[in-house]
Amino acid sequence: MLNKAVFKQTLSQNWKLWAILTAVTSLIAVLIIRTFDPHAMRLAMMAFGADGPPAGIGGGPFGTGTDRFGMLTIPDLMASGYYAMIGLIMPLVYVIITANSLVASQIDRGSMAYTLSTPITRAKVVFTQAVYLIVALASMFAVVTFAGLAVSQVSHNALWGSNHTPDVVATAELLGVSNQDVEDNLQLILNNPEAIAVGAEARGVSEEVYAMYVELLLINQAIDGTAEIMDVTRYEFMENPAMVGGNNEVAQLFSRLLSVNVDTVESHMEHLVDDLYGQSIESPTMLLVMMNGLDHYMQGIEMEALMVGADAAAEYLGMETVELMTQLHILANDQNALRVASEASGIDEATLLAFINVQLAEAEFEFDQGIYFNIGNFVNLNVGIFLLMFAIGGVSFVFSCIFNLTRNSLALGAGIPLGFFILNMMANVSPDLANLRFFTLNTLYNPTDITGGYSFTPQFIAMTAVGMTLYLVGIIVFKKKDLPL
Amino acid sequence: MSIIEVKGLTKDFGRGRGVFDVSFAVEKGEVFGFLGPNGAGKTTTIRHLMGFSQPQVGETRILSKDCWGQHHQIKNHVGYLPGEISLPDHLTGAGFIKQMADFRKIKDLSYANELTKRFVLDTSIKLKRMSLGTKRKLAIVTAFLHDPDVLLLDEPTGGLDPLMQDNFIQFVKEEKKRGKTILLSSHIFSEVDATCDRIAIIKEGKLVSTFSANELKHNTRKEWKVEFANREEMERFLQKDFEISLAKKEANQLHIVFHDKDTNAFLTELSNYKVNFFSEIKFTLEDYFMKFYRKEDEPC
Ligand SMILES: Nc1ncnc2c1ncn2[C@@H]1O[C@H](COP(=O)(O)OP(=O)(O)O)[C@@H](O)[C@H]1O
Ligand SMILES: [Mg+2]
Repeated sequence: MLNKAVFKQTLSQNWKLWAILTAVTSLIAVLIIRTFDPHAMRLAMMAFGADGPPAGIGGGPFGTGTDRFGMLTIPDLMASGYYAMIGLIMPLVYVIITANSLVASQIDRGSMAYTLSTPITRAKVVFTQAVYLIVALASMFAVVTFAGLAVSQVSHNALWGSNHTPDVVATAELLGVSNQDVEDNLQLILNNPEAIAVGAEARGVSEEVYAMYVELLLINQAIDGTAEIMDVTRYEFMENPAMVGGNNEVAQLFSRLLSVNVDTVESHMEHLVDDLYGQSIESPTMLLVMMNGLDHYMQGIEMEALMVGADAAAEYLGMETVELMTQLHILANDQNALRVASEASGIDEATLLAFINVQLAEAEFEFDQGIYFNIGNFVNLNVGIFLLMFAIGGVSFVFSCIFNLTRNSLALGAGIPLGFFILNMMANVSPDLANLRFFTLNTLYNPTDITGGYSFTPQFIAMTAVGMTLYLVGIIVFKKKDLPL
Repeated sequence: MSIIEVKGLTKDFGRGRGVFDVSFAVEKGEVFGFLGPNGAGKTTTIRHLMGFSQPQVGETRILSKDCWGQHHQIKNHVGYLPGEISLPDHLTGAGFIKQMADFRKIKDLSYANELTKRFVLDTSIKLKRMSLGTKRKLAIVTAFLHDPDVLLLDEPTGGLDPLMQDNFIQFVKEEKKRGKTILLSSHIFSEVDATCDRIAIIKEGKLVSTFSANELKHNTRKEWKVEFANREEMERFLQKDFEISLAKKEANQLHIVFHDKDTNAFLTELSNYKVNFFSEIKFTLEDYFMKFYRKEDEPC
């Protein structure tokens, strides 16, 4: 069905627009990924996340609903920002313009007359145009994906390179075991004060913070292990931790990883399940805080009081508050500053210190997680946006095939996709308008669901089916209609 | 077997526009003129022959193949010159010729180069910057690129300068000699007159007359213009039983119509009058055409 000569001609006519929009789209993706900084994200989170539990214990940088579990990775960032706006708009513009220029515009201008005066059938011509549009979209997102992966590697060593953090390397050397051994059994560090000291030094944090960080890693491993035992995804477990009930296998796992005896874990679990009943675990940190009994300490902490304390300490230290927030270890290490903060905020020093240490440990943990790059998620984000553009391109294409005038083709071929986009935004912004999501194809592509571990296969299949139907209808209509050439 | 057949073709666009029950056939080696003013339905008919439109009633065939259902089977044998020249912007002339050759799987461009020379076409310019005439020439070259047996030319000389129009008319005559079958739509009498063997006149979507060019040339009804010396002489002549098609009384002029066989009678009668001069008014295609188009507009 494909006609090579027509494809070649279409390519030579359309490659420039493709090149420009692909370059711009990739460039924006590259810039966003390049500037990605887990620490900065954390700061943003602290600035915005004043509602709910103290900052750092749950809540994403964009409040709730985007990054659900407090671990912001590059694909997460891309999902909540880029693929919801600019990464969506650019290909949308491309697909609208191209779909129109591939068929309707050539009928309107009359240049299709020359193509159709040759023995090439209409069906072949229009099929080739559809293939061009799809191939162009696929290659656009292939380039974006590749650029994104490349810059993640170059700027963040995110894909491959050093798999082991410096503290693991240092402690493994001290203990005379392999890096992998240490990662598999982090208790080796916790059981050895010398290892804690070495690890803390390698990471550049205090020993208390370091120990807490390692515990966080262990809890994280325990969460993954539990999800596996319960045969659910990590996110499903975290959403409904009560599901473990009195599961003995889970208790064993926690006991082994955290090196506490099973009875203790089981009694903990009972409390936890009671405490958490109907609640979700927002982040591994939350579990750490609860398990160390720190939550009773911290529950009373008011964000406003904290900020007052931070301001006072910053003034005492001659720093900007923001600056101090990124370098909380200064506060933790300075008795006098800590006392100033405590007095100003009315929170006692021990609580304040515990809070800061949790923050610092979590920062370390998130830094690792942030750098951790889930290639699968990133690729799925791009496959998803490709399928969305495939389906929306089908809308533009079908009107391009139906109408002989560019004016009419664009009225619906651009109007409807833009309408979809706007409806989707409105549905996302206001819960009152949430039902609008049933009237837009964009609903089928939910980037944060893809990175959040929710099921997206049915949506992907739906987008594929919608797109294929539309292209097919376009081809059939074009074959049968009268052409004013 | 006719090469081009249009049988009872009807396409009604509403409000009296379209084509209605149009039938004609073009034989092998014939140049068929399709004459009518703008909006008469020439392009609509040709669109059907190209398989771009589906007939509401009737059918169109080229080389016995249905133009709607089997259009791609015909196109190796058909060259099409659209009435409106709109070429893709991004190519040069040469690029466009190459592309059309690609579409037609033609590797050897020597014939194209011959045509390019013949029509003095500069193919290095971008299509965007070409004048209408240059674009027309390029469209002509691509229509003849594959040396087709059948040609559908929709108002082919629009935008060409007079020299190039002559060049084209000459070319059409040569192609005819080579046995090509040509349908040429036009509203320009001179080019139809110069090239066509048969002519159909289309008016408001209906064929009003189909005739051979010879019939027109060998017309046996003649019209003469006579100027009498004075009014009395003219009035005297008017008493006689001659067909008068026009009387310009203030100039003492009469247009007198008679059959070739009555020539002697006319001359004998005229010798009885004082006459300043007399001359034949040639009956042209234009006159014939106007007969159909005047009927309603200005009754005479
Ligand atoms: N696709 C169409 N829809 C409606 N009216 C049309 C269409 N194509 C042509 N017409 C009308 O049909 C008439 C004949 O047009 P056309 O065949 O282009 O005339 P010509 O080529 O003799 O100048 C015109 O009045 C034109 O406006
Ligand atoms: Mg026309």
